[in-house]
Amino acid sequence: MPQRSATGLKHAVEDNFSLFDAEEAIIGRTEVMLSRLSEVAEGVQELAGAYRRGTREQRRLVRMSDRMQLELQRVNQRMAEQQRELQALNEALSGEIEHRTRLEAELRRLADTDHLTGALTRRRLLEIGERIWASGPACLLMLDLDHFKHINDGHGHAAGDAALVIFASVCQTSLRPCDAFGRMGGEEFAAFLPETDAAAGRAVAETLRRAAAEAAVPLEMGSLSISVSVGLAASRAGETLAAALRRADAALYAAKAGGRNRVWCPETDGA
Amino acid sequence: MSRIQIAATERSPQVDFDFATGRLCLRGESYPEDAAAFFGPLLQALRGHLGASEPEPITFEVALAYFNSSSAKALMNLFMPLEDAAAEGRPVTIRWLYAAGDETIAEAGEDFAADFDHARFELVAEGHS
Repeated sequence: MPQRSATGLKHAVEDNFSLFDAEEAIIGRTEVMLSRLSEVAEGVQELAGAYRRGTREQRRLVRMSDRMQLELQRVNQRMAEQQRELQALNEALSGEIEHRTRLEAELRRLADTDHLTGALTRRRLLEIGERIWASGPACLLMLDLDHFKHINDGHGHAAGDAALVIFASVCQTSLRPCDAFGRMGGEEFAAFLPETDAAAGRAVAETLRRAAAEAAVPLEMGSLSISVSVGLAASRAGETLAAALRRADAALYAAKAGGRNRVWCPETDGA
Repeated sequence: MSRIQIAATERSPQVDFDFATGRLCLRGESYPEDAAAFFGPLLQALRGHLGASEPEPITFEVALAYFNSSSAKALMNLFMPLEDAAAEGRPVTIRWLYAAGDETIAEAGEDFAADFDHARFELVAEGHS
């Protein structure tokens, strides 16, 4: 049996039994708890640090995006302003264009209209006449007030002007909207009648002649009667307007030579 | 303090927080120079009112045509105590007004709506004017 030394025995006893084993166990447990607590404290510290860093980064990001948004908003505002300016410019421009268009229309109307009688001007009448002449059968009437020089000389130019105005008005009332009526110069007028043959054209010419004969030009004392001679040219295939004008002039001359206040239509009245 | 009224500026919205009637309103654009300085007093007043008053109904009308990130954060700070008050039983309505056709602001409203479980959140399109 091995011999135990006194010291050995004492150790063995202390290993197996202590009067303070409960206290020692608690101390041991508190030491474990303390070390765990400091672990938790470290963890909380770490967490707080991370949160602080996160918040700092968030602040920085918000600041950065605020700056970008400010710049963006400034750009948007500038663009909106430019848009408004552009709109105002556009409106001014379209107002100006409208104004010019109106002016142009007015100028054209003035250029196209004989200011005394309201009939078409010679230039405009021939423009329209070209189109009518090119588009199918038509009639051209040359109309000339009879003894116009006598009216001017005997009753004054105001009476002459009144005669022209009344005659033009009588013709415009009798003609169709599709007909073109204009003043060629002086007391000479012309009318283009589209889609009209010689017989129908002659009937129109006769209506105009009779209407003129029935019209009265008021004078300061009493009134004045007028009459008109009419030469007619019905369109012929392939004939130019210039040639037709010459024929209508010749027919007008024939009507004058025949005694005035009459219509001469070579096609229906015989050459 | 029963009412806070601030006129709109180019960078900050019109404010009308009428605590007596329970009607709070923000209207305009919000990208203030100093969002904390602008929204801080509003938030403080709102918290003070919610803590001190009877749980009368509150309507918060937000009609912002444009706002920056700081203002969005400030809005969340204003919404939070309102949602808490709603959770405790106070009738709270948030009305998110946006110009009809403004998808960006409408979508922002939808994003904010997700944070509310107790307060009522209304998305309201305002007609073209």
